[in-house]
Amino acid sequence: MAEMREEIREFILKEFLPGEPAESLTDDVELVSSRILDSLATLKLVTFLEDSYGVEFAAHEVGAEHLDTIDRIVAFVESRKG
Amino acid sequence: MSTNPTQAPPASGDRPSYAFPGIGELLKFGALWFQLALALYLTGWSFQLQGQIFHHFSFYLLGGFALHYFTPPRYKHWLFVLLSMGSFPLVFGWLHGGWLLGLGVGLIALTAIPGPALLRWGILGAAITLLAFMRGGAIEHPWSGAIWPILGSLFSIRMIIFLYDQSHKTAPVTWPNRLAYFFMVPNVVFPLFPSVDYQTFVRSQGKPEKKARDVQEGMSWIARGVLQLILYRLIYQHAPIDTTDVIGLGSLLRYLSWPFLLYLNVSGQFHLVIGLVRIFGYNLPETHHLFYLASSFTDFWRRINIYWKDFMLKVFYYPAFFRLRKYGNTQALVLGTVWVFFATWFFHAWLWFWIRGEFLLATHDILFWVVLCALVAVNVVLEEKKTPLQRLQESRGGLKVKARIAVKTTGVFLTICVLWSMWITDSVREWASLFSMAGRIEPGGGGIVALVAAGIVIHFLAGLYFLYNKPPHRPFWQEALRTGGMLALLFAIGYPAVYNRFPQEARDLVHQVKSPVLNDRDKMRRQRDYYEKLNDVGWDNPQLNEVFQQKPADWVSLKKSILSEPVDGLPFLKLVPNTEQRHKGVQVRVNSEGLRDLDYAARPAEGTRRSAWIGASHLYGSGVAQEDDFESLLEKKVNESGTPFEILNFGVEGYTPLDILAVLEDQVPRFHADNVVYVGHIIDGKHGVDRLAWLLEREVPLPHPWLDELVERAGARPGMEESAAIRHLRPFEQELLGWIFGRMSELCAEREQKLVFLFVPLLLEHKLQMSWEEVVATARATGRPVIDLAGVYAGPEPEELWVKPWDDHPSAVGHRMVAERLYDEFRRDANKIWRD
Repeated sequence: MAEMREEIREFILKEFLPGEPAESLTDDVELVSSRILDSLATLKLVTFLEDSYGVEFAAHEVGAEHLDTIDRIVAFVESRKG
Repeated sequence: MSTNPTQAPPASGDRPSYAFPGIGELLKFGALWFQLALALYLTGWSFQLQGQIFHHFSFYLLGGFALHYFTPPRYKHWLFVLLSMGSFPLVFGWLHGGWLLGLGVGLIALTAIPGPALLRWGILGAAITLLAFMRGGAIEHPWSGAIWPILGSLFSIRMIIFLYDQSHKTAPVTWPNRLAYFFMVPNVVFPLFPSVDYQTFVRSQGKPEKKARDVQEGMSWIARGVLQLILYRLIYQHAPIDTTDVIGLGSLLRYLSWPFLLYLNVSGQFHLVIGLVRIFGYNLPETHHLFYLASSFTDFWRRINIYWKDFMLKVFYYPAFFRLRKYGNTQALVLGTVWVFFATWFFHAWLWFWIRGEFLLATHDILFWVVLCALVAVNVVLEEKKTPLQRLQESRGGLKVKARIAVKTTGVFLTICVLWSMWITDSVREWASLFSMAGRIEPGGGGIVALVAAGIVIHFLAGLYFLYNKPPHRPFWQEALRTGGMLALLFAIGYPAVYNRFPQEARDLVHQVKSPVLNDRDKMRRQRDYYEKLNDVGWDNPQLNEVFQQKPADWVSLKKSILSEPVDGLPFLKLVPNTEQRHKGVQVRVNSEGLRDLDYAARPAEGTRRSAWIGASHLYGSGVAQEDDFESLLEKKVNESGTPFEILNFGVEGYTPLDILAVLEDQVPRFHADNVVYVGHIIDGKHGVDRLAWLLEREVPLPHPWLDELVERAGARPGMEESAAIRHLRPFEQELLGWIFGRMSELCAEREQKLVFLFVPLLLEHKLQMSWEEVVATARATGRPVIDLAGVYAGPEPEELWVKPWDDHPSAVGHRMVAERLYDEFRRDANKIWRD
């Protein structure tokens, strides 16, 4: 789980926040609400999560409810992996 | 972390028992209540940003807010429901408010029908279709038409979002949630309402311990909304010009600038609306975010009307992407974007249908969405390959990087300005014709060019500033002082005892901003019956919108009624003999000779004097009964005084001096009148040019060689777009009017008829090229007698004499004032009328 958390953090930093120090992207930083992830970035993140962890998203699951923070992303992926 | 989507809202039951607020909490409440009172006063009274109905609502809101603030958390949601539903009878009265609530609760109840979703949707669809037929006028309904815009605003978009969330179980669906969501308290006075997301709304109920700071955030948004609406008013009163006023580069740049700036009205209203919801503890996100500073077209789409973007993403974009991604991500993203813009166009038309009763189907509207869609789609493809940099707390990148982004920001702003100006123009052809004026600088145009250049520099610097600075999150008292201070400053500026001490120009400026009157462009368009077209009475003019929502569907111009038939020439239409119809609130009967008048024999009886009166809508008696128009009243009064007298009314709504000349040439001779009276107005010069341009666009052969020569001299030509032709002909307005009056005089001389020019004022002031004195002097130059009725409406306010709030033709009272003055003129100097 900790490994997954770091992989997700690394992906977000690399794709959407290049040059940003890793410590500034804490687990509770709001990604969707604070507009770090726009619709396009959200779909890129979803594709990454699906490819990396073998989970599938439905259209209505794409949004702040499951993707707003690293905590929520991890929880959602974990719940799907069962 | 739990992500159970069906968990109960956090506010209910968080506190086991109710604790009476301490002094600190009471002080915070006092500060909040004071800010709300100031904001509502500025909105409803001082700057009159909302109509009369806002007054009662403001008191209701102040009381409701106080009650809600101290209500135990477990009851807050229910109290919000009660306040929301109670606002409908408050604003609409028990009858119409009851209908609104009844229809609304009925629709909501249909969403609770047990069984398969498809069955529920089918029943709901049938109910909405029935209502749509009623809205469109195909089926009678027992309630007032005034409730349609609000009903449409409550359900036309939010029902779709609700059904989506209901079917995907993304948020708890309970009766209080449903009622609170659909009847949300400010909606009753704001038909233009953001498309609030159901899931977000249900989950937005704040935590009790953060109450004051969350409410303060709402208050700050309310204040921002008020400020934006005041800025909107400032721009509305001073910037807009008509396409026909674009005569050089300066006026072209002015025309391209103002339409997008008027969007502040929507942004201001949405800030106000969401701020008002937030003060009741629903921490909804902001609706607009620095949308004038978007750095790309996708960024623009994300910043402007964020709720609409979220609605589109959720219901259209993401589902489309997931279905289409098997064809490749890029294809899915592009096709999803196209789908979203199609849906945006369709649902805007759908919203307009509920507001105005007809769909918005206009080429320039469709083109606007197509162009914006193309720009966003290209951006999507570019951003898919290279994601734009984001930032967390501190701004990154050097000045060079930031300057490049700021340049892009200004480029996007300018492009949207141009695009928006096309959207607001009546046709693409008319809009395109404006650019032919770019090559010349009109008098005063240099100043406007310099002003626009300065505006571009300021925009660039503003873009740069916000790249360096993120708005800080201030503690409660700091934010309260900042917001309260701003509201107090606006209050002071709008307070007569304060602004009357300002220099004259500043005083006039404040006075204009405080007044909800129409600007010059809208006055002129109203005069030309432009507001029959629904897209002209829209988001950019709340005052006009409010008035026009009350306008009955049959209040259309004469050319759209069965009483008239079009003519491909002059006059542009004729009344159809022996027809009768209710038109503009009165029964109109056209006699066997095609006049709106009594029946007259071809020749007057022995000893009876006959007068032929020619003119336009005032003479025609637009909106008043035939026996109440000034011509009929005068005729009756003169006959009662013992002088046998007939006035034949040749007036027809919509006629211009060129149409009237055609009537004098072709229709008047067969009635053997002793004299002719031309009923004119200050606007005659402009109307003459308008009709000539109208003929040119339709390539109708002109009836006089002199007109051909004038057109050639002006640089206009047959087939030219109407507004472009107007721009060419405008400098020749007085010359054209002089020729028309002269031609009338010649005709009457040939027929040995006396001609009198009678000028009646309008009840709406216009900024025109020709002054009243110039129009009257043009008539005097013919050597014919002139009756000048300037000041005839003195006494009451002009609006009191309007036939209806949406129609500034004189009412029966106004006609009586004209008839009495004319009778006095008649008694004082009958020779002026009958002898040379």
